[in-house]
Amino acid sequence: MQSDLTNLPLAVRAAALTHAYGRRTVLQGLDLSVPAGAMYALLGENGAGKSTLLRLIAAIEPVRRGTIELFGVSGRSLAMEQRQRLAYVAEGQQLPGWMRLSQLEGYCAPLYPTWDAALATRLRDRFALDPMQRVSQMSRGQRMKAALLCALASRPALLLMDEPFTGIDVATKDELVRGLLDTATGEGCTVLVCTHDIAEIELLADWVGFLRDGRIEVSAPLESLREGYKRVELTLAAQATVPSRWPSSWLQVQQAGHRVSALMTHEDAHGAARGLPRLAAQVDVHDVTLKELYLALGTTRREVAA
Amino acid sequence: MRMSAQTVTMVPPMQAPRRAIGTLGQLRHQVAFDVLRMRWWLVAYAVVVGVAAVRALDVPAVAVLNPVLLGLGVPLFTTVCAVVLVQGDHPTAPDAFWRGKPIAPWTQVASKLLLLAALVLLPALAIALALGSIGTPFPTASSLAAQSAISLLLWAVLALASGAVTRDLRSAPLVVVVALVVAYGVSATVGGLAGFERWWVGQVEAWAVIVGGGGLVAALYHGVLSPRPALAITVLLGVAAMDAATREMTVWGRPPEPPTAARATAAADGQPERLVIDTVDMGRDGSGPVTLRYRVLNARANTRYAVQQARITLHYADGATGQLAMVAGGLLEAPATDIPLPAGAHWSTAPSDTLPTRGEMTAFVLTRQIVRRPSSSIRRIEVRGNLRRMTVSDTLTVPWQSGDLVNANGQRLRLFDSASAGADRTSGWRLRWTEPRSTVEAERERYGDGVNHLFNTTLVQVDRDQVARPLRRQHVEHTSHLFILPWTARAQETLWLGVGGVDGVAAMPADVAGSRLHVVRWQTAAVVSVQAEYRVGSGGVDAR
Repeated sequence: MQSDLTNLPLAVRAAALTHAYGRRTVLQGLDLSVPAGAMYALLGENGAGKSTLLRLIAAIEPVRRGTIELFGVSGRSLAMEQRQRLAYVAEGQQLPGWMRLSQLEGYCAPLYPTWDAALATRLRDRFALDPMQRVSQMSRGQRMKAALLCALASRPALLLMDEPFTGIDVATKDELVRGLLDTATGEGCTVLVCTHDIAEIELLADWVGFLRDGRIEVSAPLESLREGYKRVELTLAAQATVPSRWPSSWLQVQQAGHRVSALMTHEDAHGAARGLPRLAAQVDVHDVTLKELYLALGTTRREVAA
Repeated sequence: MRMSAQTVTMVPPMQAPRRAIGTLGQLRHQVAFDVLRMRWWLVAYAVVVGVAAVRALDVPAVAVLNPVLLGLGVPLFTTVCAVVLVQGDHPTAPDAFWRGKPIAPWTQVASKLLLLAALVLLPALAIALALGSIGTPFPTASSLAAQSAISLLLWAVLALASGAVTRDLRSAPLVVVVALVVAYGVSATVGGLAGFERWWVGQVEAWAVIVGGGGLVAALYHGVLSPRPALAITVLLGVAAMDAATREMTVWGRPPEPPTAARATAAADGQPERLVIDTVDMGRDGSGPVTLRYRVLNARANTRYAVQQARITLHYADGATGQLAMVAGGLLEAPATDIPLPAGAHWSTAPSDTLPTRGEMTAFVLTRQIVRRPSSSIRRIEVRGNLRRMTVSDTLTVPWQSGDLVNANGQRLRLFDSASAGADRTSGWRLRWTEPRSTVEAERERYGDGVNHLFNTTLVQVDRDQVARPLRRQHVEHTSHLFILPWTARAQETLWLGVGGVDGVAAMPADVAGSRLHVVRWQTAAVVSVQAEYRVGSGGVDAR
């Protein structure tokens, strides 16, 4: 499921991307388009290839099959000036522990011509980071804040984030999300973030992509997905005969006694509301959450039925 | 909802930066932060190099430090620093901080190589300064420093490559261990191949390691070489480095013929004699015995000398020391004209080298000589030992025939022929000192010191025309393997007798018909100690 991107300016476009580690193929003919200025959340199961995809986009690993274009320029022929508009933050990335935060900023600043020292100072204050603290003495959350500070202060055109919220407490996650929202949005910065923290990313993302089996299964604006899918909850009538099979277009069907819950397209939901009164005593149609969409469309368990 | 994305509009390429950082600027930036990261390592390294250099100048405050640690300290520190240097910005780790940053891989490579060069040049500079401070001419000092730098560079580059193909400091030495095992196998198989012993093999290997190791690290940073093949290549480079280290590989071009540099003179206490060590030959391949050639100045007439219990300490330019102890060697024989002849006899006018006036002393490394260095890097020599002065005790002239020549107190000097003696020139006459098994073995252990009976005897053939010719010891069994001499079963020594100074040609009965055998025995007149210390200056050794 891919959204129409006609006439939409793209920040990232990957085509027929295939990548393998030894005999294990991680990405299999993947196509991805990320609109410029989007806050794109890439969701997928462990081992789906999210981190690999980000490393390929960031040119940390070489692209062997397929192509990647960043802002219309092949990733292989990115000039240094263009790479300077790209920032990459990853959970587990080795920060130089011997540096103090001020030295870390001093290391990064000359690398980026668009480095915003004032923004760095504001982010440092916002994240309550001590410029004299050594990176090695920072907590996991503080290290991620420091990494995000360096990434955001470079005023990137494209920010790649790989599991930025993993292992971080709720308060710190909230700070990071707010810092990201305040800084990255409205600056024309494209953010591509892969994460398992769906609740946090739901606040940020306006585009989502579900990566499964080495391919992008769904790539669409979050709002359009929400409009396209509904969760329908049925309360079966007491004398109703429960069908042996539910319609195949229903997803995530869950039945508990006389209550049935299913995720379906907007059209199916309205059809169900019109056609089920004989069967159901009550039909409720709800908006869906990103988590529900992901479980229904982005995981291998999407066909699970009651 | 599936729709096509056939026609897409890409936004214009990223805007040009407001201010661009230049490539050289990025290199300077990277070097600055590498230096900052390595600062404590560099400080410690500078201390080790400084102490080694100061110790080379024999400053008493640090002279007590273990020279082995100092000798090993510099190369060890260099290799550890190289590993830490490259692993700080690991070329292949996907989670390395520099990955994903706008850093050109070549600046990482260049920064690492520049710092590595500094690590190698620092001790070389210290060596040059140390040599210069004692008056060593600049060409000599710079040449020695360059040799040292190249040797150090070999291991530094190998360490850099090892660090690049491993993830941490602990696993990097494993590459060297694997290379050591492989090198052992290779030397057992390839080492004997014809041509492999050529002088340039070590140099080619060394430069292959230096260039190949640097290229490997660059390839890894640029992502054009995968870690697994890189690991295999590094092991091969390690094998080549180990083989190169055993060869002449620090000088580009054909190595100079040893021996070369050292010359020391030791004064005997209160005596006119001077012991001169002309050369110290460390051997070209770094193995085998060390040979010292020496002679005695101001020698007395009718006297010959033997160096006894000599201990020689070599002090190298980088502060390391090596102790040598003489375990075998020849006598400093008196000139033939000093040997008393029977009445009426006269020396042959034919040239003869059977009575050398210049001795050759062979010494084996005993202790503290961890790395064999070329003799050209010797800066100071300490000599301690005894000089045994020997004079003629008695002479005896007997007919040339089988039987006992001397028989005194159970010690018999017997001339006899073997089963086919005299039948052809492949077997000769044998002369044996035979003595009771109760002979003090300690006496025999000083075989090379001129105490052994056989060596205390000079044999001269006097033919029917009264022409005297010294007899050459063509082959002396077991003399070069002193370690077996304490065996009680070795109660006799055998030598072959030839004539005319022609090796391997035994005397036929016709050659000795009518001849007499003139036996001259020497005895110790005095043992004087020699002890001196000399610094190597331009053109040899100057007494301090």
